[in-house]
Amino acid sequence: MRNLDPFPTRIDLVRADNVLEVEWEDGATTQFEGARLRWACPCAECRGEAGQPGRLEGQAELDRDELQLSDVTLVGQYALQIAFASGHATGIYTFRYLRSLATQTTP
Amino acid sequence: MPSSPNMGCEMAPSADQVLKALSTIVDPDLGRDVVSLGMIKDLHISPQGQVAFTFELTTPACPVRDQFRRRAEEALQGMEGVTGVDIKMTANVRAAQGRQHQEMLPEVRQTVAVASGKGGVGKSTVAVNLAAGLAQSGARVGLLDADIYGPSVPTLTGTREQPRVVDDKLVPLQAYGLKLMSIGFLGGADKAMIWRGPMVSRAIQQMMTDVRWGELDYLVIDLPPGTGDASLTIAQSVPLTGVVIVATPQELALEIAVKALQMFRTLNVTPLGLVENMSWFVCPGCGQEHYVFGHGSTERAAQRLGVPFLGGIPLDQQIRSEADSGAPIVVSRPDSPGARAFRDLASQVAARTSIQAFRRLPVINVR
Ligand SMILES: Nc1ncnc2c1ncn2[C@@H]1O[C@H](COP(=O)(O)OP(=O)(O)OP(=O)(O)O)[C@@H](O)[C@H]1O
Ligand SMILES: [Mg+2]
Repeated sequence: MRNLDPFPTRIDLVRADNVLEVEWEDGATTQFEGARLRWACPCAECRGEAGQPGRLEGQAELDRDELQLSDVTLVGQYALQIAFASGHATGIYTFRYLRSLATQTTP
Repeated sequence: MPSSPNMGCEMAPSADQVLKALSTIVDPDLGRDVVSLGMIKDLHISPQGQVAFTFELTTPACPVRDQFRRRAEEALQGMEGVTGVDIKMTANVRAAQGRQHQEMLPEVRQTVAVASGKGGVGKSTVAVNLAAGLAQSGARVGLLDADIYGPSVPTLTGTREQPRVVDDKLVPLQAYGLKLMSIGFLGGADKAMIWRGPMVSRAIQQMMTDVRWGELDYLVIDLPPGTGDASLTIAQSVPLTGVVIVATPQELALEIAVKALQMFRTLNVTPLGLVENMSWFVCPGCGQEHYVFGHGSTERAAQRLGVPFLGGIPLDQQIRSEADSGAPIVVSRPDSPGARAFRDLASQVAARTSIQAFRRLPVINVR
C-alpha cells in the first residue's frame, strides 16, 4: 500500500513500428513490441483457467496479425486493454503488470 | 557556541525557506511532496518568527495525519529564526476525476461502492463500518443501501423512521454521523417484492437523485451480492470512484469474489481493492488470533489481480452482536480488534480514493 502503484502519463501506440510506448509518472519510458505484449497476454484464454492449459502454452509461433498491435484503450484508472490485428482484445494489462513486464528482460 | 541573547534581532525565515523545508515531506500514497501537492495553505510568518499554516490533507481519514504534523514540526523547529510553529490540520476531499456526475450527484465528491461475489460475506457490515469509520475521522459521509432485495442498513443502524419529504425530495435519516437512505425506510418494503430489471434501475436512481444528500465527502454504496441489475445501474449511471470487493478466505468464495471484480473491470469501474472479512478468529476466551481458513489467500489473489489488498477484518462475535443491536462496532466498541480493523480499512479506502482523485488520466495516442 505504501509503495505507489505505477501509473502512466502518456501512451503512444505506433502501428507502423508495432510498438507501444508508455511514459510513467516517475519519468521512465518503456517500449513494448507487439510480440512481447501478445505473448504476455494475461487473459484467461491465453493463460488458461481452472487447470486448463492456455492458448499460448506449448505454442511456438503466432501469425503476424496476432502480433500486430491495433488499438489501446484505458480501463478505469488501472489498466490498458490492448487489441491486436487478429481481433484478439481480451487482455487487460494492469499498469502494475505492464511495469513488471518492463523490468523483466525480454525472453 | 553561538549565543542567542539577541533573539529579537534574528531574522524570521522567508516563505520560500519555510516551503522548502516542508517540501521534504513526501506523501507516501501520492508519491509527491506536500508543498507541490498544494497541501500547505494560509502560510503566515510573523516578524518574530512565528510560523502558522494550514495543512490540508486529501482526506480526514489520512493514515499518516499525525506523522505529517510531527514531520512538519520537526522540519521547522530546527530552522533558524523560527520561534514557534502553529499547524492547523484540515482535510479537503477532492472530487474524483472526470466525474460528470454533476447531474446525478452534484454535491458528492467520492462514491465508493461495496460489492461481493457471494451473499452473506459481510458486505453490509463492512459498508456500514467503513462509512462510520470515515465519518469518525471527520468526513461528511452518506450511506446508500442499494440492496433493494435485502436492505440491511435499517437493521444495522437501528433506524426505522419514514424519511420526510421536503420540496419533492427525501431527507436522508441520520445515525452515527451518517446520512442514510434505504429502500427499507420506504413504505411497503417489508412486503416481499418482486423486482424486475427496469424497476430496480429506477428505484436505485431515485435513491440517488431524489434524495437531499447535501454536500458529502464520501457516499458509500452497499450493493446487492453479485453483479446483477442494481450493480449495473450504479456502474452505468454514476461514475464511481471505485469499488471495494469483500471476500472471505474460503477458496470458493474467493473465486466468486474474483469473478465479481473482473465483472466490475469490464464495466470500467476501478477496483479500489479486496477486503478479507472473517479473516481470522479472535478466541473469546484467550484473545488469541486463529486463521481458520489459512492465511493470506485474499492478499495473494489481490496481488495476482494487480489490485490493492485493503486489509482483513476478524471473525468476531462482537461484530455480529453489535450489528444485530443496530450499532456499527467502530462506534459502539471502538477499542475492539474488529473496530480497529474497520478503521484501518477506512484509512486505506480513503487513501486509495485520494490517489484516484489526484491522478490525471494518461494521454493516449494511436497512430
Ligand atoms: N467479521 C465478522 N465477524 C462476525 N460476524 C460477522 C462479520 N461480518 C459479518 N458478520 C455477520 O455475518 C452475517 C452476514 O453479514 P452481512 O449481512 O453484512 O453480509 P452481506 O454480505 O451484506 O449479506 P447479504 O448478501 O445478505 O447482503 C451477519 O449476521 C453479520 O452480523
Ligand atoms: Mg447485505
